[in-house]
Amino acid sequence: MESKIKDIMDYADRLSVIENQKEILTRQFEENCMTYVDGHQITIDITLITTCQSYVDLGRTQNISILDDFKLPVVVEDAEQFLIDISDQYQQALNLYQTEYSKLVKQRGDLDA
Amino acid sequence: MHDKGVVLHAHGTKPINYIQQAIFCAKHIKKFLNLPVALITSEEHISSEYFDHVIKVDPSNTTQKRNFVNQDTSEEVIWDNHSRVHSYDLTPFKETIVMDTDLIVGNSNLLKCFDSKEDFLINNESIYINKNHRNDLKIKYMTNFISMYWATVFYFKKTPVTKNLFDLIKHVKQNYQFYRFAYDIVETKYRNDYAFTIAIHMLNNFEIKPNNKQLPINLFYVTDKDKVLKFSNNTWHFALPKNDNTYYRCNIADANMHVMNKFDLDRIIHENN
Repeated sequence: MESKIKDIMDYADRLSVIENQKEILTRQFEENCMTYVDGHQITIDITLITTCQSYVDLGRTQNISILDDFKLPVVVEDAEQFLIDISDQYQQALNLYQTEYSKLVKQRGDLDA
Repeated sequence: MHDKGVVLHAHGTKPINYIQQAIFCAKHIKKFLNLPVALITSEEHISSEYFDHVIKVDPSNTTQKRNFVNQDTSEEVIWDNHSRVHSYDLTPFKETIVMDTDLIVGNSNLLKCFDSKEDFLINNESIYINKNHRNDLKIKYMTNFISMYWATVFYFKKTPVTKNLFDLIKHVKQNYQFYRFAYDIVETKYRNDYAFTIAIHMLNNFEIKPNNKQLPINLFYVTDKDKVLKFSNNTWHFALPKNDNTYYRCNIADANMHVMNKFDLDRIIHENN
């Protein structure tokens, strides 16, 4: 019974390592999603991408207003190009996150593996 | 005058060699940011091989000491952090990133600072990578209600606005005992993080406001209680303590890392030379 409990505790330890690593990867992903538009800091997320996609779909391709990270408005002159740029940056950041997360899952909490 | 660059401050070589740290730090700045580096120092005979500018200042002759954990013992070390408030006057750049020599750059995200419209950028959030187990080592607030701004790394343009800010920071430093009591700071040593936090609080008309001048990076850090095992392929390997005195592993790749374990960092620098 004791050895079973030890196994369970070892497993809990490894889960804790994975959880900590996952938190770090999430923060790094967010950092990699940051960009600047006309001097305003913007963290790219799905909402921003779909909002821009909607404007482009509606034919609003010039001078759209969006909010920066501090709720200040900023004008994006070329919405189509902006959509391409933010989609690319978001995918690159997400791909990196995915690669690192897969490695983490494979390691099962043993970071030297 | 270069347009853009990084300023480092380094004073003292024993027992912690801040000049070696500055060289290690400068190499990573060149690698990831490709920016000129200026060193502000009171030390003599600094090789210009690693620095584009070496700016000599008088020694502060400080007797201020700080305890750092070295393996299982702790050591009192002279802590000379006095020249940082003169960054505005001393920088050879129009736009400057100032950073601690123990902040090791691991990606190019700091370059985004130069796209900002703000005159001054600083983080008031730092991420302690062991906070889940040792929340006691996490530093968030200067007092119970004012969250800390971290002078570990900041960016500024040379403008009248930032000149005012630095004048205010110098004023806080000159009258530090008064402000220490006014802001209920227990720690007796002068600390730039506190001086910057107080000055920003004063500039905000003594109101607590959300920080809308954040740097485009996360400020990850480890303390002197955390062990640095290895640094290779731009990946930090740590052993972090839990409450029961056991350790668990943590790796971070491609991050800007503030390594406050000075003795371990010294060892890592030697291993990587």
